[in-house]
Amino acid sequence: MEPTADSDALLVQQVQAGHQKSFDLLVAKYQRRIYRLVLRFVRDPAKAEDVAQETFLRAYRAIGQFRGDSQFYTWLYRIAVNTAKKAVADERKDPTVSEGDAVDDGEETFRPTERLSSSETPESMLVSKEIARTVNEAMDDLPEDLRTAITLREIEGMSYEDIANAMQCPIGTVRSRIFRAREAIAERLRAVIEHKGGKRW
Amino acid sequence: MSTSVTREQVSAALDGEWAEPQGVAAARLRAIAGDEQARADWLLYAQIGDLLRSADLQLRSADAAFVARVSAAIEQEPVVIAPAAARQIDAGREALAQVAAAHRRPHWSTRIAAGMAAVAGVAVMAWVALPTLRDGVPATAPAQMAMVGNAGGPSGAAPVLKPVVAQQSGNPAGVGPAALPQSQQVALVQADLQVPAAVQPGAQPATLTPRGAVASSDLPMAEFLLAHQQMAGGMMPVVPAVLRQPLAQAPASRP
Repeated sequence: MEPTADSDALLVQQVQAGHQKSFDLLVAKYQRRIYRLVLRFVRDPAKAEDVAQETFLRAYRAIGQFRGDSQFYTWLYRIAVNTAKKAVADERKDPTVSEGDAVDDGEETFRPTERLSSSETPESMLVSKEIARTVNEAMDDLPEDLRTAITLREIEGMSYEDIANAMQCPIGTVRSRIFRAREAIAERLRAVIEHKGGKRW
Repeated sequence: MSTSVTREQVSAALDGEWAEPQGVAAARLRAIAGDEQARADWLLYAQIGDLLRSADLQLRSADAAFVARVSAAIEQEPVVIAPAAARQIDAGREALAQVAAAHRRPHWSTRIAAGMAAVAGVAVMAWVALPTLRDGVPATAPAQMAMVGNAGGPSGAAPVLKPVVAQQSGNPAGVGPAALPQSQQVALVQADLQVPAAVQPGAQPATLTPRGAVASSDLPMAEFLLAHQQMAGGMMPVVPAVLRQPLAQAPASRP
């Protein structure tokens, strides 16, 4: 049985070997989580974008110091918190800016009760709603084995091997089912995103 | 000779699951990083994962632009070469693999995974209730919505939970999106934020009210996990909540 290699560690190694573009894959993977984390401190979406961007830049600059004694995301998370706190502190020096009630409980908990920033436009809310609906409908329409596979992977966080045991099928079948589920959802999302003017990167 | 990466390979790479020998992984990731189509697929698959995991991690249409900005900014930076650090990563990676598996997902998923592995051939379905925004009302937590859904359906942003239970007697009303083996009693919880038009044929709409102080905003999937735990524990059809509308009866009224 082949040992599974964590993508993150491999990508970091490649960046440390001078492959800048491998860092982009880490950005793509974690940007939403980092943005959301930073938003809890900074509140303003535009500022949160800047802080998120700065977080990744600082992480890139410091990548040579990452030794792999923790998960890459744990390390990135700390950089994000530090960067966000600094941004808030800088903001406080400006008396015209109202202080945000940043919640730092040391944990990245999902709290959907947080109210949306007032800067969120109705249009962007509609886009999010449409995307949520598209994903939900795509999941509804999936054949059961595909939906099960992607659920066990993305929501339960199970490895391919554990999913294979749970679904009583070969690992190759798990890999195929997860891919086909993703692609079925992705196909619908591409239509939505392209329509909204999505860009290639 | 085409060296482009297939979408299936991108999918597996994102999961860190390699069917090939160790050395292929690094080359595969570099190939993905350098291929425009592969990068777009990697981003979209990562976004789908985030969407499924949390009601609040909304896909933003500007995601691709963000990556492009960071990428461009990095190109202006000196290239980092840190081989010593890379060697240290290698040395610690095996031990880390175990830790990584436990930490990559919320802690409760590892317990569920252990339970799931003990159950053979059971189909489990659950996915995130993505909150709707109606009349400017902010989205509320799926866990909380499970409680307010008791009020007979959405009054605001609450989605309705529809349990689909396959009875051993082969009650056809219990079959959800697909037929389940009749020999198994499985409780499936499906979260649906849409209007009744999206109801699966045959599925009886109902609402689930979690019993006890189970749901917390920290665990939006709490009600689903309880359902899983029930299944992992003994294949019992009981859902850990008051089923407001048993499947055998008339459909609950939904606005």
